[in-house]
Amino acid sequence: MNVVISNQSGVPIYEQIKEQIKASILSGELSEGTPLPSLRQLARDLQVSLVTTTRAYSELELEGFVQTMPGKGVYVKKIDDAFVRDKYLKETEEALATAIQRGKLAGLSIDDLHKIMDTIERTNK
Amino acid sequence: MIKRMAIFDWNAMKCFHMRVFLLPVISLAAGFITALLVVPTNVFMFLFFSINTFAVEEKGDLNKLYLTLPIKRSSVVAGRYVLSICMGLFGLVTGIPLAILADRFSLSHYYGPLGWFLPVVTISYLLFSIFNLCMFPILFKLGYSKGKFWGMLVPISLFAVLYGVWVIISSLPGNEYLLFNALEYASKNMFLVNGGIIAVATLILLFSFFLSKKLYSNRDF
Amino acid sequence: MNNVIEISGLRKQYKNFLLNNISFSVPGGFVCGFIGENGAGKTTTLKLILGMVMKDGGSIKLFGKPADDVSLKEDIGVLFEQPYYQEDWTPVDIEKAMRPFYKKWSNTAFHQYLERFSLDPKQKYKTMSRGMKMKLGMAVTLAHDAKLLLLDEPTSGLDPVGRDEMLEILRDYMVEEDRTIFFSTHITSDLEKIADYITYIKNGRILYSGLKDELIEKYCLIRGGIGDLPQSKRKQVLGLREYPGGFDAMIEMKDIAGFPGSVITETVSLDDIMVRMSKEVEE
Repeated sequence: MNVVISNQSGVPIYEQIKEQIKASILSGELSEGTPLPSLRQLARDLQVSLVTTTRAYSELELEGFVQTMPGKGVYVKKIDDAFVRDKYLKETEEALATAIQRGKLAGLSIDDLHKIMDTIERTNK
Repeated sequence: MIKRMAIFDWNAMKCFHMRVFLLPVISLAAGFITALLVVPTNVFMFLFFSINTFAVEEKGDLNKLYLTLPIKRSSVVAGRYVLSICMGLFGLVTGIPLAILADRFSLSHYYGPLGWFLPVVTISYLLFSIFNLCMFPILFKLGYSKGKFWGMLVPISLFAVLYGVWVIISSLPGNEYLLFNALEYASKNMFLVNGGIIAVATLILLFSFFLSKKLYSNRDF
Repeated sequence: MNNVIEISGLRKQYKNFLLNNISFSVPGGFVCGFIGENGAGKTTTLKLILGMVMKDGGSIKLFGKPADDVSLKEDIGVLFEQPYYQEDWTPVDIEKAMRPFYKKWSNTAFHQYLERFSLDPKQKYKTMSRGMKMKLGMAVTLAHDAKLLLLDEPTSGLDPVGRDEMLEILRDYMVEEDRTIFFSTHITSDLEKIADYITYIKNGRILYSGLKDELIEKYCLIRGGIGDLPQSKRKQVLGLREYPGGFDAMIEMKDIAGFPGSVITETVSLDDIMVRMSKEVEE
C-alpha cells in the first residue's frame, strides 16, 4: 500500500491519506480482507499525529471502504461495483447541483451549461 | 527507600571517594599532640566529608533529579542523615585503632586510665550531633552555596563560645582541676555519664532530622 | 479514554509572575504539545506537576490520583532541557543509581537503548554532547517503561539532525498503546506533525487547550493589498501587520466573509498563531 503525502499541497493530510487508500482499494491493489497498518504504525511511518490517521480511517469506515474488527485491526471491505457506482453517482449529482446553482448566479441557462460540459469533455480527450 | 537514597548519595560523591584516605592521615597528625584527639578529629573529618553530598547535589542539580524519582522528600533527608551517621560511626570505629597507633609516636604520651577514653568517644558523638544540628538544617534549607557560609559560621561560633565559656569557668578559683575531676567522675559513673551523653546526642540528632525534614519539604526548586 | 494529567485552578505566585488559576487536561494515548513563549509559565507548570515547586492553590491529578503520591512517578519519565545527572557519572553509574528506585527497571532494555542510540556505557556525562545527553535521558525513561513522558524543551539546543533523531525516538515511543507524551516547547514546528492536542499558555493563562487540528482550522492567514482591509474588519483581525505594499493578519474562520476577492488566504501554522496572538495582547 503506497501512501505518499505532500506537506505543500494545501489538502489536509488526513484527506490525502484517505483518498490514497481509497484509490488503492478501488483499483484492486488492496483486496478484500487485507489488513491496514495499525493507526499508530501508520502515524509513525508517515510522521503524522495519531489523530490524523484516526480521522482518515474513521472516514474510510464511514464511507464503507474499511471495517474495524475489535481487537484485531482494520480490514478492507468487499467493494462491489454497484456500491462504487452509487457512491460516485451521488457525488456527481451533488457536483452538478452546485454547478447549476453557480451557473444561475453567473446568468447561464441550462443549454449554456450543456455547451460548457461538451467543451470540457472535448478538451479532456 | 532510605537505604537506597543513602547509597545514591554515596555514589553521587564519586569524585570525592578518593579523599576518604586523606582523613585518617589528618587524624593521625592530630594524634601527634595527643592520642585523645584522634577519635574526635576522625569523627569530625567524616562529618565534614558527608557535607560533600550537599556540594555534589547542588553542582549536578540533583535535587531536581530526586523529585523525578518515586521517593518522598523526607526520604531524601533521611538518606542523607543515615549516610552522615554511618560516616560518623565509621570515623569513630576506625579512630580507635588509629588512636592506639598515634599514641606510639605522640608527643604527649597518654598515661591516664583507660576509663577516661570512653567519655572522649561519647563526647565526640555529642559534638557530632551538635555540629550536625548547626549545619544540616541550614544546608537543607538553603543549599550548599548559600548555606555553607552560615553552616560553617554557626558551629564555629558556637564552638568558640563554648570554648570561651569553658576557659572562663576553668579559670575561676577552685576550678583548676575541673577537667580532671570531671573525667574522674565520668569514669566512676560510666553508665550514667556516657549513657546520658549518648541519649542527649541522639535527641539532638533526632531534632536536627525533623527540622531538616520540615525545612526541605517546602523548598521550591 | 482517560486523562493522564488533570489540572484544575492551579495557581503559583512568584515575585514577577503569576500562574493564574490554570486548568487543562491531557488525554491518555496521545501526544500533547504545551506551547507558549519563553516565560509564559510552561516550565513552572511542569515543575508544579512534579512537586518541584509548591503550588499556592488548585489541584493536580496524575492517572486519576492526586499528584503528591510519589509512587505515581514509577510510571513517569521526565526530561528537562538536560537530564540532571552527576557530571562524572557514566551510563553504567547512572543505571546503578537509578535502578533501585524503579520496580520495572530492565537492565537489558537500558543497554539495548544505549546501543541503539550509539552511547558508550563508560563515557562520562560531562563529556557528552547535548544530543547524547538527551538520548541518555530517553534511554533511562524507556528502561523503566514509563507510561507518561514529561518533556521540557527536549529539542532546544539540538542541531537539526539531533532534533530529527529526538523526534524519531518519540514517534517510536508512541507506537505502543497507553503511552502519553506531554511536550513543552517553544519550537512549535516540532509539534506541527506529531502533536494530537495542544495547550497554549500565555502570561500564566491558558488561551487554548484541545485538538491541534481544531486550533489550526479555527484560524487562517489573510494577505491583501492596500485598501483590501475593510474598516469593519480591523477589529476582527489579529496581529495585523501593515506595510507600504499591503497588509497581512490572522483572522478566525468565522469572520472570513467581507473581504474583497483579491485577498489571499493560507492555512496557519502553530508558529503563526503564537506570533500573531503575541502581537495582539501587546496592546
